[in-house]
Amino acid sequence: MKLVSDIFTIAEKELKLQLRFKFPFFTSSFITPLIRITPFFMVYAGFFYFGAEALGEVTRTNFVVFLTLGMLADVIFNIGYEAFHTKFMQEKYWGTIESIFLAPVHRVSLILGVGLAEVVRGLPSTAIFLIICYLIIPVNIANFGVILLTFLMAYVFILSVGIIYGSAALFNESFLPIFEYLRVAWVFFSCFYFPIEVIPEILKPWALINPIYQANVVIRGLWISGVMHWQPFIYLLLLAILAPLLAILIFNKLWKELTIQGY
Amino acid sequence: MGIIETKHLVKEFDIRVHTGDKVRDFFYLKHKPFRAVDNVSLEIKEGEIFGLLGPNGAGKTTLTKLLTGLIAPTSGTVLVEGMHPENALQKMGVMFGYSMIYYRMSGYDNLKYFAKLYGVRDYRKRIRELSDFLGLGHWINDLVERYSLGMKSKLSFARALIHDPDILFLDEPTLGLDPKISREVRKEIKSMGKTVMITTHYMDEANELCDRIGIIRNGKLLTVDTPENLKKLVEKGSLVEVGLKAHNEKLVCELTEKIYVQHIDKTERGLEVLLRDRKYLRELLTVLSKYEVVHVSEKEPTLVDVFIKLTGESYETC
Repeated sequence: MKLVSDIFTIAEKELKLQLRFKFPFFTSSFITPLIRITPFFMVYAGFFYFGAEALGEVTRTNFVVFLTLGMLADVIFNIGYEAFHTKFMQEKYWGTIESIFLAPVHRVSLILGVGLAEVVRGLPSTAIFLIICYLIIPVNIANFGVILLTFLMAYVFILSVGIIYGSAALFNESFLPIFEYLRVAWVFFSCFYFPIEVIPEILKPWALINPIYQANVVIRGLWISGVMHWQPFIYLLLLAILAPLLAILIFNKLWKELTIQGY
Repeated sequence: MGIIETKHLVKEFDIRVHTGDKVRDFFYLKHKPFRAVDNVSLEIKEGEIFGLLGPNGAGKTTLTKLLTGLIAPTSGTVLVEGMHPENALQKMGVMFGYSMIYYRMSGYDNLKYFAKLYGVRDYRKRIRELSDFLGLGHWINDLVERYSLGMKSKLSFARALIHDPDILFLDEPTLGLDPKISREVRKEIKSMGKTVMITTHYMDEANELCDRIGIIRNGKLLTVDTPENLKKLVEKGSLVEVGLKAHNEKLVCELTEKIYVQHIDKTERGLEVLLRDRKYLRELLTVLSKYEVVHVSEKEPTLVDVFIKLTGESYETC
């Protein structure tokens, strides 16, 4: 019970902090995703306008949904990956970071509380983009439920990676560029805006072992083709359970061995 | 058994070293280990108010962070109520100056947030009590970024007290507070009956509040005793009050150069001279005979004198 209550308390605090400056709070969840998707939309629209039939699984009838679902996964990926880096960095320099670690709060509450605040922030825009997808290609309620669950599992997984990234912000900022480069590679191998066929054969295994790519496979498979991909779903489910535990173990170990540095 | 216990506590950090080589110094390449806390064994009893005094950089904050579990020791142990500090978080209230409060939220939201994390049931009532006691008034609903330093300090103190903890760690609790509130805060700390570890630069505050005081320097705990016993460390006759017709810089300079003078303090009517030993009184009188001295008398030592004697800190230089 305390765990759940702490999650909501942390989420409420995070939202209040973000609402101190309201304009970025709203623009970041609406405008930023649109800026990200627009160039790809134009490329695909032009591609199909000039007579192309398909690029891998992307066709003239499904490319808007393909891109929008990819954009949502991309937004979730970025929010989860960045959440703790941004948060820890801010709180380190605000001098408030100690307060959360001095309070009797389980690390799981911290992960899920921060995660929940971001979900709430992104909820209106996500709803609008999902409605757009539904208007183009309707999806039944059961499939929709599994799609939401898949988004959630991908989010929990990436939040867990995010806490490791965040620990670099706390303990040694020298490691931050490594995580930046990792993100670039990860985005590429997640196929948010293009099909896997675009990736050279030799590099494809990197996409296939990538849980975020597999989340895209499940989500797009269900929404666009109505096909459930069980293997990627179970793979993601396992990682969504194991990753937070592993991340907390690593974070606690670092917390015990290292000291907050840089302020 | 103490409610807070440390045994042979050591904390080492790497510090940057100036080598004189421009390239190495520019990139901070040379490090050496530095002991911020050096073999500290300490026992604080239940209900005791324990003061930790020391010059800047002595290791007070590092020791407090070790005791609260915020940083791990290099070696040695810390026990709070017989547990690792991480398992005793609910029992501890911590205040580090003005930090650990969110400037982008209101005072009320700050207290509400921490009250909920610590499981305070009727947090509204508790916030009202603390707000009334500390005089946060209508400011409680305003953003903390608009608070004065004193108000931030009050809020930080309220944050530490929000869950009515058994043990309080207070780092400079009255810094920035006006005298009236400072006095009330001291009164409250004294009357709470809690175990308190307090670090302060105000000697009067330590004298008034603390049952025992530890003096720390270069990470080493030099001594721990009651304020009264500590004052006995400054020998009778080694603290001398010198009345002067007018301030005399030449005298101050001459005394500063004397090896037997540990510290000189300028007062309204002359000087206070702390000797390394009372046996040097004769030498002091010889020097004073060359100047227009109104009177020379013995002075009762204060905690400041003890602090100066033990830490070797001196404020006056020529």
